[in-house]
Amino acid sequence: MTLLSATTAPVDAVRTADTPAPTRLRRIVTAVLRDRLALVGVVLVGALLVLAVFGPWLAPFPDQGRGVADVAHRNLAPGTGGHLLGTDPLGRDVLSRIIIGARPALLTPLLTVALAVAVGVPLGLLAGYRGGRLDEAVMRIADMFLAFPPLLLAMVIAAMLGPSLTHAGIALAIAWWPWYTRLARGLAAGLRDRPFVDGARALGLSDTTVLARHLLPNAAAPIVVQASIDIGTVILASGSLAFLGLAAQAPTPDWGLMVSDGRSYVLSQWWLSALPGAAIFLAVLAFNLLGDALRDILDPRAVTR
Amino acid sequence: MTLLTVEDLTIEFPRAGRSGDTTRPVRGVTLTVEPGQTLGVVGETGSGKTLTGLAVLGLLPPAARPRGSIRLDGLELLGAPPSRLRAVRGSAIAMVFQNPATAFDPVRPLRTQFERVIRRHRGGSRAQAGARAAKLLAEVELHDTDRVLGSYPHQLSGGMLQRAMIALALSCEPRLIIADESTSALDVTVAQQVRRLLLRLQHAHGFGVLFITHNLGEARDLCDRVAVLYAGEVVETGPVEEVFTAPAHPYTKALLAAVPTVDDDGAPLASLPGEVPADVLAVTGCVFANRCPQTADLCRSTPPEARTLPGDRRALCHFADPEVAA
Amino acid sequence: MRRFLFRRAAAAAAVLLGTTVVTFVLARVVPSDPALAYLGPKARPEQIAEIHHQLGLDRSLPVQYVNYLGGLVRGDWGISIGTKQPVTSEIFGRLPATLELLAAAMTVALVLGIALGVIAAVRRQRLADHVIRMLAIGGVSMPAFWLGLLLQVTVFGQLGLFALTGRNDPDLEFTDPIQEITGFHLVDALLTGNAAGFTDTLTHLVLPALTLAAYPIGVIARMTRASMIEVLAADHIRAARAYGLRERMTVGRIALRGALPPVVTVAGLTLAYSLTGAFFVEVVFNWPGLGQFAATALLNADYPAIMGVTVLGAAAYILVNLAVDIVQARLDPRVRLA
Repeated sequence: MTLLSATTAPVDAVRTADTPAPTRLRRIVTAVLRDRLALVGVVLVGALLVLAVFGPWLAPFPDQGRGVADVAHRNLAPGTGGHLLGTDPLGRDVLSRIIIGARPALLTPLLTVALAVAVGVPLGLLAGYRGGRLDEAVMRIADMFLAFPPLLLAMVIAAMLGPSLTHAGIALAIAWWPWYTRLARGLAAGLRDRPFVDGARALGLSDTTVLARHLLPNAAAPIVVQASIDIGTVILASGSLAFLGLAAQAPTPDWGLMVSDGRSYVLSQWWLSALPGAAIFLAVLAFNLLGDALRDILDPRAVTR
Repeated sequence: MTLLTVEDLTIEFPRAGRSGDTTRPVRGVTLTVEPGQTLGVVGETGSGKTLTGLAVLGLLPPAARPRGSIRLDGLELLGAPPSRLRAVRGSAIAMVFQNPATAFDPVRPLRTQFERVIRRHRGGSRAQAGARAAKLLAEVELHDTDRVLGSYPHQLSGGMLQRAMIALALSCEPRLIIADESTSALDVTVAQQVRRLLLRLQHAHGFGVLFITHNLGEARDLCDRVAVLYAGEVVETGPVEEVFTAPAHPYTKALLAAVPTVDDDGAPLASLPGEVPADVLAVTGCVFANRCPQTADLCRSTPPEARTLPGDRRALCHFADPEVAA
Repeated sequence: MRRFLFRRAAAAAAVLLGTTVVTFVLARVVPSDPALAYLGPKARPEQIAEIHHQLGLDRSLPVQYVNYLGGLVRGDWGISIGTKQPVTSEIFGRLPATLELLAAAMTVALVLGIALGVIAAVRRQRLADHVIRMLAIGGVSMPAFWLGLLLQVTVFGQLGLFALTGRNDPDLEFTDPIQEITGFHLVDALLTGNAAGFTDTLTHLVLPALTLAAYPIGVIARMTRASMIEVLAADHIRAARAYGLRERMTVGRIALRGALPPVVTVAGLTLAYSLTGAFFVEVVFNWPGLGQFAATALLNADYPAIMGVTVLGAAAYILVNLAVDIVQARLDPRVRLA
């Protein structure tokens, strides 16, 4: 959960049966293209995804990226010896390590958010729709998790599971799912008294169908906005866990881990910490810009412009 | 001397997105309010009446470009420096808004809001301002003054809030009160009480009133003179009784004909065909021509000039002809 | 108002109880055996059984929970595996340092954030607005640990300003030691007229506080801006202008007051967020607070310490949220009806 989303109020994004051309998707794309900041976000996200997928082919020194040392060329400043961003104490090319590191840096948060949404949203929709004791039970459990600062909870769980990238991802998912449950529940509770829900039920449709085909599309917009903003937050959280040593371990080129490793040399070989940190910053920034743009488009009530 | 003179007021807005493109929701509006008199500004939604009212106080949105002249007792208000406008607002001219529930600050009790305005224009201590507020509330027939002053806006009814707003308007002894659809949000009976109150206060204090409304019956009830607006232009002005019994402009005639009466039992409602032109600036000739039952070629080619008629009346029509409404 | 307070406080207490359940479950789910952690890998079965009995691990789960709860209330939060000291003394001994850091950061964040947000709202769509919005989104996206390192390299490394690490210069102990009255060095230095101590503490506080404040400034500025824009378009603002009130009063007092409630909520949330952000700032700046202790505990699997910090963290989080609710109700009477 990020505080960026606290500026949003859930919106009734009721879809009309006759969506006029241009289609909704087309309008979203046009709106994004017109907004310069959003454009920057989209371009950055695109670049990052390219790095994540094609990293090993794009990195100038892929083996070093993965961890093979070259001690003869260690601690080179950026721009020297053919290393655009310099080398680390083991002689490994920093640029390559950052590029290869894009995959774990982005993949884990994306999967985490996907998991949190996949678990949290159906649960929340069901609870909000049915109400009653199910609602109370689910929200009590969610409240217990929500009572913790999410990053703290993730840190503790990650520490308990043992340091590894997978464990960090699981820990983050466990810390983040309740936010989606709460969001989805609120939306469902708000929508369940609407005439179109009554109409669907009067047709004899089962609860699952009502939830999936009718409630979900109308609740989708705030959830999508939240998720896109959360990806940025979770990238930050994931990097933070790595910084503390609770996620990926050497020699994985995890950005957070690289920042931590470079700490002891920060006043002299500043690039060891500064550049991977910049990578995290740019990744978070990119998704935040994208999330912002999506929110402005999908949630007209949240005035930020 | 005339209290308020609005002369040839034109308000332009740049059209969103394109530069060089504008809309002109108010065009060449001229009207006057005499001291102690009530002028009704009547028109449908979008006729420009609210914008005219806002223009008097300089409260137009920042994108607006007004031209013309607005004079209060000879003092030019249009384009006046902000300091002069701020001195006039709330003291010489006071506004009563359509929705009293939202016009008050929702997080402060009424007392604070009265204090702010009174102390802004008159100075004095909070106690003095409070005492004056209490007196004003009594004048508008809100007698439980302590409770009312201590209440938050959401704790009072619409009628009470509107009375309170009128009291606030009176607080600095205005010479002119602008009432913008001030009874539209009220129940019919409450609206009538508020109108009666306004009349009574006017007789007692002698201020002029610019009464903006879409309700013809209300205008007749309350006003001395009336100005009828259509698509941003004043199409007819005159003493209210005469305009309503013998309208000169075809639009006024149609408006009056459209008001259902008890005798219309079962008959279909009379209405005007067509719509206000989407792009008023593109129209050559009279803006009303496309809907007017009396249109002639002249109407479509040449815009009409305001014609003066007997009885201190004017109408914007080539064929202005005071006759009894059909 | 009192009924509202009571209801909210009761709800908060219930949630706090729930968090102890979660913490307890987490502690028991741990794959490692605390007895082994105490005794080391070469422990014999009887020794392990003895420790299990001492720690009450051989009782049923509900009984264990009750014992745990009782311990929490009594102030017995276990012994830290790392420092061999009672967890309570470790945590509460280091708490003032962290609180001082948080207080400094939030103060800066509120003052700067609200000011920037108001400016951006009033000068909407102009240069100042665009610049502020970019700063805000930058602040929100920035990893605290990275920003801290950057500030160390640039402000201290290149410009030689302020301090690199720590809460006070180690030499201060000998020249002008700060007498600990409240535990907050700024306050204590003031109280005892210790000018050198005060400046030293301030110098050490600047960079960490700024680092920690970056995220809250971004969030608060954005929220203030959004909220102000909405309020400035409201009828009662137009009415205030219609009644001739001065712009400074209209914007600064009427509009801002109306715009504050969501800002308060969000500020409270950023405070809650910064509770964990402080961890990273403390690690980077070697700040002798709770965060540094927790970070070490996490890495070393010091479960009693981790559990203690978790419970405290949750309690603080709940408390902050409760405080936010109360302040909101105070600012906007309509909330009290909810």
